[in-house]
Amino acid sequence: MSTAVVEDTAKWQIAHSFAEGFNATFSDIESRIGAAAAVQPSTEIIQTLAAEVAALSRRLSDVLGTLPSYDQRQHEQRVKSLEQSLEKLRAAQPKSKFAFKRKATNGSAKVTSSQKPSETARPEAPASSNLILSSHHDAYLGWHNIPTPTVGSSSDATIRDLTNCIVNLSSRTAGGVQITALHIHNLKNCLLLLPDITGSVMLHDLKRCSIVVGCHQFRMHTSKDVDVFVSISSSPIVEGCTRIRFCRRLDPNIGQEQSEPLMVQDFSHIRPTPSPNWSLLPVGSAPPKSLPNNGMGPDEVAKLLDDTLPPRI
Amino acid sequence: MGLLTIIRKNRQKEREMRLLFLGLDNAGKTTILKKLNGEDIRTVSPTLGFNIKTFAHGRYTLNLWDVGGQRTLRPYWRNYFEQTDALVWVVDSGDRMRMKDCRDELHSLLLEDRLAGASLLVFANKQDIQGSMNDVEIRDALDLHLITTHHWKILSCSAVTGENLVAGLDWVVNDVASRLYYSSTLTSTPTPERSQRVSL
Repeated sequence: MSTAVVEDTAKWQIAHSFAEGFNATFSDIESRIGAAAAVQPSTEIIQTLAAEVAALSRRLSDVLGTLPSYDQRQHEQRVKSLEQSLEKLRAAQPKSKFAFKRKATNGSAKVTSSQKPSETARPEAPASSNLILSSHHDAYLGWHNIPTPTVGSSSDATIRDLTNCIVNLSSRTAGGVQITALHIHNLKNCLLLLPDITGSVMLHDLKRCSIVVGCHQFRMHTSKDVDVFVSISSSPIVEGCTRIRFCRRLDPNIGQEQSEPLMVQDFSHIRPTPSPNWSLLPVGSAPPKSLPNNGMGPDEVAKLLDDTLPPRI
Repeated sequence: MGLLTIIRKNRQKEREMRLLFLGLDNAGKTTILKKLNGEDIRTVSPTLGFNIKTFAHGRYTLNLWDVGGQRTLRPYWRNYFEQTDALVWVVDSGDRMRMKDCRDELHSLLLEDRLAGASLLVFANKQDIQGSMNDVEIRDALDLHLITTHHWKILSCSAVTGENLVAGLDWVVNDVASRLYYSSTLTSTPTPERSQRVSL
Protein backbone atom coordinates (compact mmCIF):
# COMPACT_ATOMS: atom_id res chain seq x y z
CA MET A 1 0.00 0.00 0.00
CA SER A 2 2.69 2.46 1.04
CA THR A 3 4.71 1.71 -2.08
CA ALA A 4 1.68 2.54 -4.15
CA VAL A 5 1.48 5.91 -2.45
CA VAL A 6 5.16 6.58 -3.07
CA GLU A 7 4.72 5.59 -6.69
CA ASP A 8 1.73 7.85 -7.03
CA THR A 9 3.64 10.78 -5.57
CA ALA A 10 6.56 10.16 -7.88
CA LYS A 11 4.20 9.90 -10.79
CA TRP A 12 2.48 13.12 -9.83
CA GLN A 13 5.80 14.92 -9.60
CA ILE A 14 6.87 13.69 -13.00
CA ALA A 15 3.55 14.74 -14.49
CA HIS A 16 3.79 18.11 -12.81
CA SER A 17 7.30 18.92 -13.97
CA PHE A 18 6.50 17.66 -17.44
CA ALA A 19 3.40 19.84 -17.61
CA GLU A 20 5.40 22.94 -16.65
CA GLY A 21 7.94 22.52 -19.44
CA PHE A 22 5.29 21.41 -21.89
CA ASN A 23 3.01 24.37 -21.24
CA ALA A 24 5.87 26.86 -21.50
CA THR A 25 6.84 25.52 -24.92
CA PHE A 26 3.21 25.36 -25.93
CA SER A 27 2.47 29.01 -25.21
CA ASP A 28 5.73 30.03 -26.85
CA ILE A 29 4.84 28.26 -30.09
CA GLU A 30 1.24 29.42 -29.88
CA SER A 31 2.18 33.06 -29.63
CA ARG A 32 4.62 32.72 -32.51
CA ILE A 33 2.01 31.09 -34.69
CA GLY A 34 -0.29 33.97 -33.82
CA ALA A 35 2.41 36.47 -34.77
CA ALA A 36 3.11 34.61 -38.02
CA ALA A 37 -0.58 34.60 -38.93
CA ALA A 38 -0.69 38.40 -38.65
CA VAL A 39 1.93 38.84 -41.40
CA GLN A 40 2.46 36.71 -44.51
CA PRO A 41 4.80 34.02 -43.14
CA SER A 42 7.56 32.48 -45.24
CA THR A 43 7.73 28.74 -45.82
CA GLU A 44 10.82 28.58 -43.64
CA ILE A 45 8.99 30.04 -40.69
CA ILE A 46 6.11 27.62 -41.11
CA GLN A 47 8.46 24.68 -41.38
CA THR A 48 10.37 25.76 -38.30
CA LEU A 49 7.10 26.01 -36.41
CA ALA A 50 5.98 22.66 -37.74
CA ALA A 51 9.22 21.10 -36.58
CA GLU A 52 8.73 22.54 -33.11
CA VAL A 53 5.16 21.31 -32.91
CA ALA A 54 6.33 17.88 -34.00
CA ALA A 55 9.07 17.96 -31.37
CA LEU A 56 6.49 18.86 -28.75
CA SER A 57 4.25 16.04 -29.83
CA ARG A 58 7.20 13.68 -29.73
CA ARG A 59 8.02 14.83 -26.23
CA LEU A 60 4.48 13.94 -25.27
CA SER A 61 4.55 10.53 -26.92
CA ASP A 62 7.83 9.79 -25.14
CA VAL A 63 6.19 9.99 -21.75
CA LEU A 64 3.02 8.20 -22.76
CA GLY A 65 1.63 6.01 -20.06
CA THR A 66 3.44 7.81 -17.26
CA LEU A 67 1.00 10.73 -17.23
CA PRO A 68 -2.44 10.70 -15.65
CA SER A 69 -5.02 10.26 -18.36
CA TYR A 70 -6.59 13.66 -17.78
CA ASP A 71 -3.24 15.45 -18.25
CA GLN A 72 -2.54 13.28 -21.22
CA ARG A 73 -5.76 14.32 -22.91
CA GLN A 74 -5.20 17.97 -22.13
CA HIS A 75 -1.72 17.87 -23.61
CA GLU A 76 -2.89 15.99 -26.66
CA GLN A 77 -5.60 18.56 -27.26
CA ARG A 78 -3.08 21.35 -27.03
CA VAL A 79 -0.81 19.70 -29.58
CA LYS A 80 -3.81 19.18 -31.80
CA SER A 81 -4.84 22.82 -31.55
CA LEU A 82 -1.31 23.84 -32.54
CA GLU A 83 -1.41 21.51 -35.51
CA GLN A 84 -4.74 22.93 -36.57
CA SER A 85 -3.61 26.54 -36.45
CA LEU A 86 -0.50 25.48 -38.32
CA GLU A 87 -2.66 23.90 -41.00
CA LYS A 88 -4.54 27.18 -41.33
CA LEU A 89 -1.22 28.97 -41.83
CA ARG A 90 -0.27 26.45 -44.48
CA ALA A 91 -3.59 26.77 -46.24
CA ALA A 92 -3.05 30.52 -46.50
CA GLN A 93 0.27 29.89 -48.27
CA PRO A 94 0.47 29.81 -52.04
CA LYS A 95 0.94 26.18 -53.07
CA SER A 96 4.40 25.17 -54.16
CA LYS A 97 5.58 22.04 -55.89
CA PHE A 98 6.94 19.18 -53.84
CA ALA A 99 10.70 19.54 -53.54
CA PHE A 100 13.43 18.92 -51.05
CA LYS A 101 14.47 22.19 -49.52
CA ARG A 102 17.87 22.33 -48.01
CA LYS A 103 17.48 25.62 -46.20
CA ALA A 104 14.28 24.74 -44.46
CA THR A 105 15.53 21.46 -43.12
CA ASN A 106 18.61 23.21 -41.84
CA GLY A 107 16.37 25.38 -39.72
CA SER A 108 14.36 22.53 -38.32
CA ALA A 109 17.48 20.48 -37.70
CA LYS A 110 18.69 23.24 -35.45
CA VAL A 111 15.45 23.20 -33.53
CA THR A 112 15.55 19.55 -32.68
CA SER A 113 19.27 19.38 -32.15
CA SER A 114 18.86 20.49 -28.55
CA GLN A 115 16.94 17.28 -27.94
CA LYS A 116 19.20 14.97 -29.84
CA PRO A 117 22.86 15.86 -29.52
CA SER A 118 23.78 12.94 -31.75
CA GLU A 119 22.26 14.74 -34.69
CA THR A 120 24.60 17.70 -34.56
CA ALA A 121 27.57 15.38 -34.60
CA ARG A 122 26.52 14.01 -37.96
CA PRO A 123 28.25 15.68 -40.92
CA GLU A 124 26.05 17.91 -43.02
CA ALA A 125 24.22 15.90 -45.63
CA PRO A 126 24.08 17.68 -48.98
CA ALA A 127 20.79 18.41 -50.71
CA SER A 128 21.27 15.44 -52.97
CA SER A 129 23.49 12.43 -52.98
CA ASN A 130 27.20 13.16 -53.06
CA LEU A 131 28.23 11.76 -56.40
CA ILE A 132 26.02 12.64 -59.34
CA LEU A 133 26.59 11.99 -63.00
CA SER A 134 23.72 13.35 -65.05
CA SER A 135 22.52 14.96 -68.26
CA HIS A 136 25.14 14.04 -70.86
CA HIS A 137 24.92 12.71 -74.38
CA ASP A 138 27.34 11.28 -76.94
CA ALA A 139 30.29 11.37 -74.57
CA TYR A 140 32.92 9.31 -72.83
CA LEU A 141 32.51 9.92 -69.10
CA GLY A 142 34.74 9.06 -66.18
CA TRP A 143 35.36 10.04 -62.58
CA HIS A 144 36.47 13.51 -63.70
CA ASN A 145 32.89 14.23 -64.87
CA ILE A 146 31.52 13.77 -61.37
CA PRO A 147 31.65 16.77 -59.12
CA THR A 148 32.77 15.59 -55.70
CA PRO A 149 31.70 18.22 -53.20
CA THR A 150 32.39 16.38 -49.96
CA VAL A 151 34.64 13.49 -50.64
CA GLY A 152 34.62 11.01 -47.84
CA SER A 153 35.91 7.50 -48.02
CA SER A 154 32.49 6.24 -49.06
CA SER A 155 29.32 7.68 -50.53
CA ASP A 156 26.19 6.90 -52.47
CA ALA A 157 26.02 7.77 -56.15
CA THR A 158 23.44 8.62 -58.78
CA ILE A 159 23.72 8.20 -62.53
CA ARG A 160 20.83 9.59 -64.53
CA ASP A 161 19.63 11.03 -67.82
CA LEU A 162 22.36 9.91 -70.20
CA THR A 163 22.06 9.12 -73.91
CA ASN A 164 24.69 7.46 -76.14
CA CYS A 165 27.37 7.54 -73.46
CA ILE A 166 30.19 5.38 -72.22
CA VAL A 167 30.63 5.63 -68.46
CA ASN A 168 33.91 4.26 -67.17
CA LEU A 169 34.20 4.29 -63.41
CA SER A 170 35.92 0.93 -63.22
CA SER A 171 39.27 2.34 -62.20
CA ARG A 172 38.81 3.70 -58.73
CA THR A 173 40.93 6.79 -59.04
CA ALA A 174 38.85 9.62 -57.59
CA GLY A 175 40.46 9.59 -54.19
CA GLY A 176 39.51 5.95 -53.82
CA VAL A 177 35.86 6.72 -53.10
CA GLN A 178 33.91 3.57 -52.29
CA ILE A 179 30.37 3.67 -53.62
CA THR A 180 28.02 2.14 -51.04
CA ALA A 181 24.72 2.56 -52.88
CA LEU A 182 23.99 3.30 -56.51
CA HIS A 183 20.83 4.68 -58.12
CA ILE A 184 20.56 4.63 -61.90
CA HIS A 185 17.71 6.32 -63.79
CA ASN A 186 16.75 6.92 -67.37
CA LEU A 187 19.63 5.85 -69.58
CA LYS A 188 19.50 5.18 -73.31
CA ASN A 189 22.18 3.51 -75.44
CA CYS A 190 24.82 3.51 -72.74
CA LEU A 191 27.72 1.32 -71.72
CA LEU A 192 28.49 1.42 -68.00
CA LEU A 193 31.66 0.02 -66.50
CA LEU A 194 31.20 0.34 -62.76
CA PRO A 195 33.31 -0.52 -59.74
CA ASP A 196 32.29 -2.92 -57.00
CA ILE A 197 29.46 -1.45 -54.95
CA THR A 198 29.36 -2.56 -51.32
CA GLY A 199 25.60 -2.04 -51.10
CA SER A 200 22.74 -2.30 -53.53
CA VAL A 201 22.17 -1.07 -57.05
CA MET A 202 18.73 0.22 -58.07
CA LEU A 203 17.97 0.78 -61.74
CA HIS A 204 14.94 2.40 -63.36
CA ASP A 205 14.08 3.03 -67.00
CA LEU A 206 17.05 1.82 -69.03
CA LYS A 207 16.86 1.26 -72.76
CA ARG A 208 19.47 -0.66 -74.74
CA CYS A 209 22.35 -0.56 -72.31
CA SER A 210 25.22 -2.74 -71.14
CA ILE A 211 26.28 -2.71 -67.51
CA VAL A 212 29.29 -4.24 -65.84
CA VAL A 213 29.09 -4.09 -62.07
CA GLY A 214 29.80 -5.91 -58.84
CA CYS A 215 27.33 -5.44 -56.03
CA HIS A 216 25.52 -6.86 -53.05
CA GLN A 217 21.99 -6.54 -54.43
CA PHE A 218 20.72 -5.76 -57.92
CA ARG A 219 17.19 -4.54 -58.69
CA MET A 220 16.14 -3.45 -62.16
CA HIS A 221 12.77 -1.87 -62.94
CA THR A 222 10.91 -0.95 -66.14
CA SER A 223 13.81 -1.49 -68.53
CA LYS A 224 14.27 -2.98 -71.98
CA ASP A 225 17.13 -4.56 -73.92
CA VAL A 226 19.83 -4.51 -71.27
CA ASP A 227 22.88 -6.74 -70.93
CA VAL A 228 24.05 -7.13 -67.34
CA PHE A 229 27.47 -8.49 -66.41
CA VAL A 230 27.37 -8.79 -62.68
CA SER A 231 29.31 -10.32 -59.84
CA ILE A 232 26.90 -10.68 -56.97
CA SER A 233 26.32 -12.77 -53.85
CA SER A 234 22.49 -12.62 -53.89
CA SER A 235 19.85 -13.06 -56.60
CA PRO A 236 19.43 -10.18 -59.03
CA ILE A 237 15.82 -9.26 -59.66
CA VAL A 238 13.90 -7.64 -62.50
CA GLU A 239 10.44 -6.10 -62.43
CA GLY A 240 8.51 -4.80 -65.41
CA CYS A 241 11.44 -5.53 -67.74
CA THR A 242 11.77 -7.20 -71.13
CA ARG A 243 14.68 -8.70 -73.06
CA ILE A 244 17.23 -8.52 -70.24
CA ARG A 245 20.32 -10.72 -70.57
CA PHE A 246 22.42 -11.64 -67.58
CA CYS A 247 25.93 -12.99 -67.35
CA ARG A 248 27.91 -13.70 -64.22
CA ARG A 249 31.03 -11.60 -64.29
CA LEU A 250 34.01 -13.67 -63.36
CA ASP A 251 35.62 -12.04 -60.39
CA PRO A 252 39.35 -12.71 -60.16
CA ASN A 253 39.24 -12.02 -56.41
CA ILE A 254 36.73 -14.73 -55.67
CA GLY A 255 37.97 -17.49 -57.95
CA GLN A 256 35.82 -19.98 -59.78
CA GLU A 257 33.40 -20.61 -56.90
CA GLN A 258 31.09 -18.02 -58.38
CA SER A 259 30.81 -19.61 -61.79
CA GLU A 260 27.50 -21.31 -61.00
CA PRO A 261 24.65 -19.81 -63.07
CA LEU A 262 22.86 -16.74 -61.76
CA MET A 263 19.47 -17.18 -60.17
CA VAL A 264 17.56 -14.20 -61.51
CA GLN A 265 14.06 -13.56 -60.17
CA ASP A 266 11.39 -11.82 -62.20
CA PHE A 267 8.89 -10.18 -59.85
CA SER A 268 6.45 -9.54 -62.66
CA HIS A 269 6.38 -13.24 -63.50
CA ILE A 270 5.73 -15.02 -60.21
CA ARG A 271 4.99 -18.45 -61.64
CA PRO A 272 6.74 -21.77 -61.83
CA THR A 273 7.33 -21.36 -65.56
CA PRO A 274 10.55 -19.67 -66.70
CA SER A 275 10.25 -15.93 -67.17
CA PRO A 276 10.19 -14.77 -70.80
CA ASN A 277 11.68 -11.45 -69.77
CA TRP A 278 15.27 -12.44 -69.14
CA SER A 279 17.83 -14.96 -70.32
CA LEU A 280 21.41 -15.94 -69.55
CA LEU A 281 24.30 -15.07 -71.80
CA PRO A 282 26.90 -17.77 -72.25
CA VAL A 283 29.62 -17.59 -69.62
CA GLY A 284 32.62 -15.78 -70.96
CA SER A 285 30.79 -13.25 -73.10
CA ALA A 286 31.87 -9.83 -71.97
CA PRO A 287 32.09 -6.27 -73.17
CA PRO A 288 35.54 -4.86 -73.97
CA LYS A 289 37.72 -4.99 -70.90
CA SER A 290 40.14 -2.23 -71.62
CA LEU A 291 38.97 1.21 -72.59
CA PRO A 292 41.34 4.08 -73.27
CA ASN A 293 41.88 6.14 -70.14
CA ASN A 294 42.40 9.41 -71.96
CA GLY A 295 38.92 9.61 -73.41
CA MET A 296 37.36 8.97 -76.80
CA GLY A 297 35.92 11.14 -79.52
CA PRO A 298 32.17 11.08 -80.23
CA ASP A 299 32.67 8.95 -83.35
CA GLU A 300 34.69 6.37 -81.47
CA VAL A 301 32.05 6.33 -78.73
CA ALA A 302 29.30 5.76 -81.27
CA LYS A 303 31.20 2.93 -82.93
CA LEU A 304 32.07 1.18 -79.71
CA LEU A 305 28.46 1.44 -78.50
CA ASP A 306 27.23 0.00 -81.77
CA ASP A 307 29.61 -2.94 -81.39
CA THR A 308 28.89 -3.75 -77.74
CA LEU A 309 25.30 -2.88 -76.91
CA PRO A 310 22.46 -5.37 -77.36
CA PRO A 311 21.11 -5.48 -80.94
CA ARG A 312 18.59 -2.82 -81.90
CA ILE A 313 15.10 -4.20 -82.26
CA MET B 1 -15.70 -8.78 -15.73
CA GLY B 2 -16.38 -7.53 -19.21
CA LEU B 3 -15.29 -9.08 -22.43
CA LEU B 4 -12.54 -6.53 -22.88
CA THR B 5 -11.07 -7.47 -19.52
CA ILE B 6 -11.06 -11.11 -20.44
CA ILE B 7 -9.37 -10.43 -23.73
CA ARG B 8 -6.78 -8.28 -22.01
CA LYS B 9 -6.02 -10.89 -19.40
CA ASN B 10 -5.70 -13.48 -22.08
CA ARG B 11 -3.26 -11.41 -24.05
CA GLN B 12 -1.34 -10.64 -20.91
CA LYS B 13 -0.66 -14.31 -20.50
CA GLU B 14 0.57 -14.60 -24.04
CA ARG B 15 2.50 -11.35 -24.05
CA GLU B 16 2.89 -11.60 -27.78
CA MET B 17 3.14 -8.79 -30.25
CA ARG B 18 2.93 -8.80 -33.98
CA LEU B 19 5.07 -6.28 -35.83
CA LEU B 20 4.67 -5.77 -39.55
CA PHE B 21 7.70 -4.48 -41.46
CA LEU B 22 6.76 -2.72 -44.68
CA GLY B 23 8.37 -0.23 -47.02
CA LEU B 24 9.44 0.18 -50.63
CA ASP B 25 11.82 -2.36 -52.14
CA ASN B 26 15.48 -1.81 -51.31
CA ALA B 27 14.57 -0.17 -47.98
CA GLY B 28 16.42 -2.81 -45.96
CA LYS B 29 13.55 -4.59 -44.21
CA THR B 30 15.00 -8.08 -44.43
CA THR B 31 18.46 -6.85 -43.53
CA ILE B 32 17.10 -5.23 -40.37
CA LEU B 33 15.40 -8.47 -39.38
CA LYS B 34 18.51 -10.51 -40.03
CA LYS B 35 20.70 -8.06 -38.16
CA LEU B 36 18.35 -8.12 -35.16
CA ASN B 37 18.47 -11.88 -35.24
CA GLY B 38 22.26 -11.95 -35.49
CA GLU B 39 22.30 -13.54 -38.93
CA ASP B 40 24.64 -12.94 -41.84
CA ILE B 41 23.41 -9.95 -43.83
CA ARG B 42 25.73 -10.27 -46.81
CA THR B 43 23.62 -12.73 -48.74
CA VAL B 44 20.22 -11.08 -48.36
CA SER B 45 18.31 -11.30 -51.64
CA PRO B 46 15.29 -9.20 -52.55
CA THR B 47 12.30 -10.75 -50.81
CA LEU B 48 9.88 -12.66 -52.98
CA GLY B 49 7.11 -13.37 -50.49
CA PHE B 50 7.71 -12.82 -46.80
CA ASN B 51 9.88 -13.70 -43.79
CA ILE B 52 8.88 -14.25 -40.19
CA LYS B 53 11.19 -14.00 -37.20
CA THR B 54 10.18 -14.68 -33.66
CA PHE B 55 12.25 -13.61 -30.73
CA ALA B 56 12.01 -12.59 -27.12
CA HIS B 57 12.36 -8.92 -26.30
CA GLY B 58 12.22 -8.19 -22.61
CA ARG B 59 9.06 -9.77 -21.28
CA TYR B 60 7.47 -10.05 -24.67
CA THR B 61 7.59 -12.40 -27.60
CA LEU B 62 7.78 -10.51 -30.84
CA ASN B 63 6.61 -11.85 -34.17
CA LEU B 64 8.24 -9.83 -36.91
CA TRP B 65 6.70 -10.10 -40.36
CA ASP B 66 8.65 -8.78 -43.29
CA VAL B 67 6.86 -8.62 -46.63
CA GLY B 68 8.60 -7.88 -49.92
CA GLY B 69 8.28 -4.29 -51.12
CA GLN B 70 8.56 -4.62 -54.90
CA ARG B 71 5.74 -2.85 -56.66
CA THR B 72 4.20 -6.11 -57.83
CA LEU B 73 4.12 -7.39 -54.25
CA ARG B 74 2.56 -4.33 -52.61
CA PRO B 75 -1.04 -5.41 -53.35
CA TYR B 76 -0.35 -8.45 -51.15
CA TRP B 77 0.55 -6.34 -48.12
CA ARG B 78 -3.09 -6.25 -47.07
CA ASN B 79 -3.02 -9.99 -46.41
CA TYR B 80 -0.78 -9.30 -43.45
CA PHE B 81 -2.70 -6.49 -41.74
CA GLU B 82 -4.85 -8.63 -39.45
CA GLN B 83 -3.84 -8.60 -35.78
CA THR B 84 -0.94 -6.24 -36.38
CA ASP B 85 0.06 -4.39 -33.22
CA ALA B 86 2.63 -2.14 -34.80
CA LEU B 87 3.67 -1.11 -38.26
CA VAL B 88 7.37 -0.55 -38.85
CA TRP B 89 7.84 1.52 -41.99
CA VAL B 90 11.37 1.21 -43.32
CA VAL B 91 12.76 3.95 -45.55
CA ASP B 92 15.85 3.92 -47.75
CA SER B 93 17.17 7.32 -46.69
CA GLY B 94 19.28 7.61 -49.83
CA ASP B 95 16.42 7.08 -52.24
CA ARG B 96 15.48 10.71 -52.82
CA MET B 97 13.82 10.05 -56.13
CA ARG B 98 11.17 7.77 -54.66
CA MET B 99 10.50 9.71 -51.47
CA LYS B 100 7.13 10.86 -52.78
CA ASP B 101 6.24 7.29 -53.71
CA CYS B 102 7.27 6.29 -50.21
CA ARG B 103 5.09 8.97 -48.63
CA ASP B 104 2.05 8.03 -50.69
CA GLU B 105 2.36 4.32 -49.88
CA LEU B 106 2.68 5.05 -46.18
CA HIS B 107 -0.28 7.41 -46.02
CA SER B 108 -2.50 5.01 -47.91
CA LEU B 109 -1.59 2.29 -45.41
CA LEU B 110 -2.64 4.51 -42.54
CA LEU B 111 -6.16 4.67 -43.98
CA GLU B 112 -6.54 0.90 -43.60
CA ASP B 113 -9.15 -0.12 -41.06
CA ARG B 114 -7.24 -3.17 -39.99
CA LEU B 115 -4.18 -1.10 -39.13
CA ALA B 116 -6.19 1.40 -37.11
CA GLY B 117 -4.66 1.80 -33.70
CA ALA B 118 -1.39 0.16 -34.63
CA SER B 119 1.67 2.06 -33.48
CA LEU B 120 3.85 3.38 -36.28
CA LEU B 121 7.64 3.37 -36.17
CA VAL B 122 9.46 4.89 -39.12
CA PHE B 123 13.01 3.65 -39.55
CA ALA B 124 15.16 6.08 -41.55
CA ASN B 125 17.50 3.32 -42.61
CA LYS B 126 20.93 3.36 -44.28
CA GLN B 127 22.34 6.17 -42.17
CA ASP B 128 25.75 4.54 -42.56
CA ILE B 129 25.76 5.69 -46.19
CA GLN B 130 27.12 9.16 -46.78
CA GLY B 131 24.63 11.27 -48.68
CA SER B 132 21.54 9.85 -46.99
CA MET B 133 18.81 12.16 -45.79
CA ASN B 134 18.62 12.50 -42.01
CA ASP B 135 15.58 11.76 -39.89
CA VAL B 136 14.36 15.37 -39.87
CA GLU B 137 14.46 15.55 -43.66
CA ILE B 138 12.67 12.21 -43.94
CA ARG B 139 10.04 13.27 -41.44
CA ASP B 140 9.26 16.33 -43.54
CA ALA B 141 9.42 14.47 -46.86
CA LEU B 142 6.96 11.86 -45.59
CA ASP B 143 4.65 14.47 -44.01
CA LEU B 144 4.68 12.61 -40.73
CA HIS B 145 3.32 15.63 -38.88
CA LEU B 146 0.01 15.12 -40.69
CA ILE B 147 -0.50 11.78 -38.97
CA THR B 148 -3.02 12.07 -36.19
CA THR B 149 -4.58 8.62 -36.27
CA HIS B 150 -1.58 6.66 -35.08
CA HIS B 151 1.11 7.01 -32.47
CA TRP B 152 4.27 7.48 -34.47
CA LYS B 153 7.95 7.96 -34.03
CA ILE B 154 10.85 8.28 -36.44
CA LEU B 155 14.31 6.92 -35.70
CA SER B 156 17.39 7.04 -37.86
CA CYS B 157 19.06 3.68 -38.03
CA SER B 158 21.47 1.49 -39.93
CA ALA B 159 20.84 -2.16 -40.58
CA VAL B 160 24.50 -2.61 -41.42
CA THR B 161 25.91 -1.18 -38.19
CA GLY B 162 22.88 -2.06 -36.09
CA GLU B 163 22.53 1.53 -34.86
CA ASN B 164 19.17 2.23 -33.16
CA LEU B 165 17.54 -1.05 -34.20
CA VAL B 166 17.00 -2.24 -30.64
CA ALA B 167 16.04 1.28 -29.53
CA GLY B 168 13.32 1.21 -32.18
CA LEU B 169 11.98 -2.11 -30.94
CA ASP B 170 12.02 -0.74 -27.40
CA TRP B 171 9.79 2.15 -28.39
CA VAL B 172 7.41 -0.11 -30.31
CA VAL B 173 7.15 -2.58 -27.46
CA ASN B 174 6.54 0.15 -24.88
CA ASP B 175 3.99 1.90 -27.01
CA VAL B 176 2.07 -1.27 -27.79
CA ALA B 177 2.32 -2.48 -24.22
CA SER B 178 0.93 0.75 -22.83
CA ARG B 179 -2.09 0.22 -25.03
CA LEU B 180 -2.69 -3.51 -24.82
CA TYR B 181 -1.51 -4.50 -21.39
CA TYR B 182 -2.22 -2.72 -18.18
CA SER B 183 0.91 -2.55 -16.15
CA SER B 184 0.45 -3.30 -12.45
CA THR B 185 0.24 0.37 -11.48
CA LEU B 186 -2.35 1.09 -14.09
CA THR B 187 -4.69 -1.73 -13.19
CA SER B 188 -5.40 -0.08 -9.85
CA THR B 189 -6.72 2.99 -11.63
CA PRO B 190 -8.27 1.87 -14.88
CA THR B 191 -7.94 4.49 -17.58
CA PRO B 192 -10.39 4.71 -20.40
CA GLU B 193 -9.10 3.91 -23.84
CA ARG B 194 -7.49 7.05 -25.16
CA SER B 195 -9.52 8.60 -27.90
CA GLN B 196 -6.45 9.24 -30.02
CA ARG B 197 -5.87 5.54 -30.39
CA VAL B 198 -9.14 5.00 -32.11
CA SER B 199 -9.02 5.80 -35.74
CA LEU B 200 -12.01 7.54 -37.28
